[in-house]
Amino acid sequence: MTGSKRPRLAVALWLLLLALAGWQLAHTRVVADLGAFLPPSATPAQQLLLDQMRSGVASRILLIAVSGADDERLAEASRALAAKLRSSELFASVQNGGDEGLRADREAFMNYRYVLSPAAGGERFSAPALRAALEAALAELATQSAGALRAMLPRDPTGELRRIFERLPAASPAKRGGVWFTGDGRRALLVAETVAGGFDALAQEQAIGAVHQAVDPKLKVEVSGPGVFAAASRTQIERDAWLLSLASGALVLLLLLRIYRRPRIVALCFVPVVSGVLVGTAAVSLAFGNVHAITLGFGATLIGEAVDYPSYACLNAGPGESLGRALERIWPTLRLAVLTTVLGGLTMLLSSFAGLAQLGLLSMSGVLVAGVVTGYVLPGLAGERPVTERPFAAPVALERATLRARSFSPLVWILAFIALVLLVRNAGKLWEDDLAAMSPVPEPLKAADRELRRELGAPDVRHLILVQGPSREAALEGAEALEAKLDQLVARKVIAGYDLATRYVPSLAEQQRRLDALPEPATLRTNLEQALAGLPFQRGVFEPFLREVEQSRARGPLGEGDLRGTVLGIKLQTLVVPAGTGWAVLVPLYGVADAQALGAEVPVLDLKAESERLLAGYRLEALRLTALGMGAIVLLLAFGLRNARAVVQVVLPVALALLISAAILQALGQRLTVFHLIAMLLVMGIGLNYSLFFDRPEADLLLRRRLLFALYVTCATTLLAFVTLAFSSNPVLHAIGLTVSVGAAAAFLTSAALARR
Amino acid sequence: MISGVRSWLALLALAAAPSFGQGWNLDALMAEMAAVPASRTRFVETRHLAMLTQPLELRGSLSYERPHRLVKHVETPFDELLTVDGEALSLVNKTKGEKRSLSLREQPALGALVESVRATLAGDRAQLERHYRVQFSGRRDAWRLHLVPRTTAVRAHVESITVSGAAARPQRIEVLESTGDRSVMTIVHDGK
Repeated sequence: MTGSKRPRLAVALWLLLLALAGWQLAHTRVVADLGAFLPPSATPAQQLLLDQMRSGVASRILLIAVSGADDERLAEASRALAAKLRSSELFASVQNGGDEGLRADREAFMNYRYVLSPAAGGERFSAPALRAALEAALAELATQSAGALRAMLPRDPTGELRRIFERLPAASPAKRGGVWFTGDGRRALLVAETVAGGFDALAQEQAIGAVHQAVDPKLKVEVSGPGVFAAASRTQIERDAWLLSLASGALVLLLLLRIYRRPRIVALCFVPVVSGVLVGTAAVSLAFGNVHAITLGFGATLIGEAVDYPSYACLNAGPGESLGRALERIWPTLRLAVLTTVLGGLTMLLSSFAGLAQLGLLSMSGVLVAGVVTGYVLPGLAGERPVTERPFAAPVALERATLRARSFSPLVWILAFIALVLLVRNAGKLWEDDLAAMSPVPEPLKAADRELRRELGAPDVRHLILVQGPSREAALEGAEALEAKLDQLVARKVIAGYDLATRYVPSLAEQQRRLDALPEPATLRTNLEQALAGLPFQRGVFEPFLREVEQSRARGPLGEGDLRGTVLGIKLQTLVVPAGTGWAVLVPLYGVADAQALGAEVPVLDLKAESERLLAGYRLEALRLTALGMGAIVLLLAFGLRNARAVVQVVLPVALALLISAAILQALGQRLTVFHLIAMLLVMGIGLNYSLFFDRPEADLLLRRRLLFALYVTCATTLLAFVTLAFSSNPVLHAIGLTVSVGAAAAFLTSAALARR
Repeated sequence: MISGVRSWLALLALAAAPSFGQGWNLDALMAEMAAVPASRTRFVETRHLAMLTQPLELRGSLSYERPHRLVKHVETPFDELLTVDGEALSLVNKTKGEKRSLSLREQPALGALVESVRATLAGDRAQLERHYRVQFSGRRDAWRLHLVPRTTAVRAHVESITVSGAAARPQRIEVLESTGDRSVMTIVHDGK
């Protein structure tokens, strides 16, 4: 049955497989796009939101704060930093509140004022209207704040530029020395837009590094934003995964050395799991074209279970017995244990999350390879030398306690019942509903980001209107038609405000209408002369005005490209976005006082509700797939055990353990996320091992005692590995470590209590 | 003996109070200004704008309170109140019903303009010289300060400012703007 029949062939095939895997790995690209771990979307609206979250302009914004000196030096540092970042190719734009960053905007506003100003259409340039404008200007010329007016009046007597500025969003941070500062004046603020998407962790890391390098090391720099999240969680996950894997690996190694007292045997125990990781990663790289950094980190922990397979065999060996002989005895049960875990990975493999599918493939192929290597390659490697000369056995007291666990089986049922009641009663709080919580970002980073955003006057948006159209212009025209309605809602205090792209730059159709309303040069000159009659303006003062109106007519409407490098251009990119085959205009609504009245009048998208729906949809998929995986496992068990009662006997303890551990996790304040679900699958795999082995019929008491010992050791290694992981400061690794620790302990106890023998 | 002491005192007096002699200078002017705790005056400001065929005339009051509060209240032809206190500047136009406030830190050029009057009234030479190259001429009862902005940012707005007066009383402030516009503020002190 096992590889003892043709050991050389098995070892040769194994080496060939490792060589192939090694070759594939040498050509593998490791990617770090965190978006792979975002749920996929069901509706176009959700797709749009996720696309924005992944690579939209909002995701590319880095918030930067510089502190650690007096405000004069900080203002200087802010200017120097902005200049350096602007010259770097990593950033599309950098704003620090200084004039430098707004020059392009001013120029665009000035050039296109007669298409951007809402007053520019209609009778703006008739003689009476011009007369009224000139009289108003004259009255204002002597005021203290007339400096800008005096400079602009000859070019823009009707004050269109000012009207454009008045319509721009007002909220902006306090300024000192001409640049943005926090209210307390301790930190200079900058906003930078990276060229790379926010979820491209490696590119973001590079951009963040450039920011840190560009600032005097004596000053303190804080950088926040989606890109920082991506970079930080990537490095943290990688570091924690490696560090903790190393730590738990060392602990497991020490434990196994203590038990086997033979380095050769301990080394053999690591062969299957190492083979599994190598081949599994190669399989992922082959199937997906790349391997996600997070997959790599999690995968190692997922197949950490495989380190137990050799132990089940080795610890089953009697004094003087070879590994092959012992394995032959235990193989039918071990094979079933391996195959059930492989099927557990199916749930993830079929998931529509790209990241989860990778994890699923890695764990399925990795576990399969580890199992096959244990069954067919290890005997050949181990040879005929005995595993041990002394009998393996656990302390008598421990054994007795385990045997007595059976009398506690009613307690297991009571606990499971209580858990069920708790879970049903708190069903509303069971799942994590916040999409943001799905991101593996440590809480302190999120808090820092919220604070910087507040200082910059960038409010969190919950409600928005989505106007879609087959083309950019169609979407813009649709949004334009909303303005009157929105103003009415503001007047009725249903909402406090809104952000409408066409308020800043109208659709081409509206721009053309305004251009058409500009008078011919001769008409305009006549109108102006009539208006000037009797006013104390020098002759010829308004020649620039006449000239520039004519230039505006010739220049035509403002296209998207004319805003390149401007702050307004960036803003428009966040508000007007490609959506599927068409375009969409996002209209964020602020200070929604009456969501119901609002919803009755305009089709509003509630981002919170939408993200909850998204997650609920995903949960449904996950639960359906989990049910599928469980069904497949039950079928496999039925096939392997050929006895319906035996199947129930094996599955029941695991099901109860999952129930109990879910309740414990909830009691510990955890809300279940996709990562808990992954961990639960792992618990299922481990629990089924316990259950299968506890339930295994053994010929005599001696074998029974060895099996018990094997179970103690494997449970101890699992707990060592995952309790270590629970110490990670990363929320995701912590969730997995905690869930598996709790779940494995629970599964061990329920399996012991409900075992038949 | 007594006459010896007297002549010593006379010498000391000369050294300590150069204002009485030929050496009356910027430091002396500043010292004299610094001794005034508060002042309240009326002004007439004539603005000669290049684009207009006739000058604009503003009337109102100007008050100063040590160390850094300055209020310029235009009463005609419109009502506008400009208050600077430390770094905070507020502008209230009652005629138009508008109110604006900002910090001088945000507007370095505006800050320099304010200091031409405020630092002069405060007798704060260091502050004045931080923003301007200062040229002093004249004597105690007819002095003249010629101020040229040090930074190009400020020179983009103002070419030069000339403050003239007698003793601790500025009487005329002339601002020459980079655009060619010019304004002359004549200050009338109560009682004199």
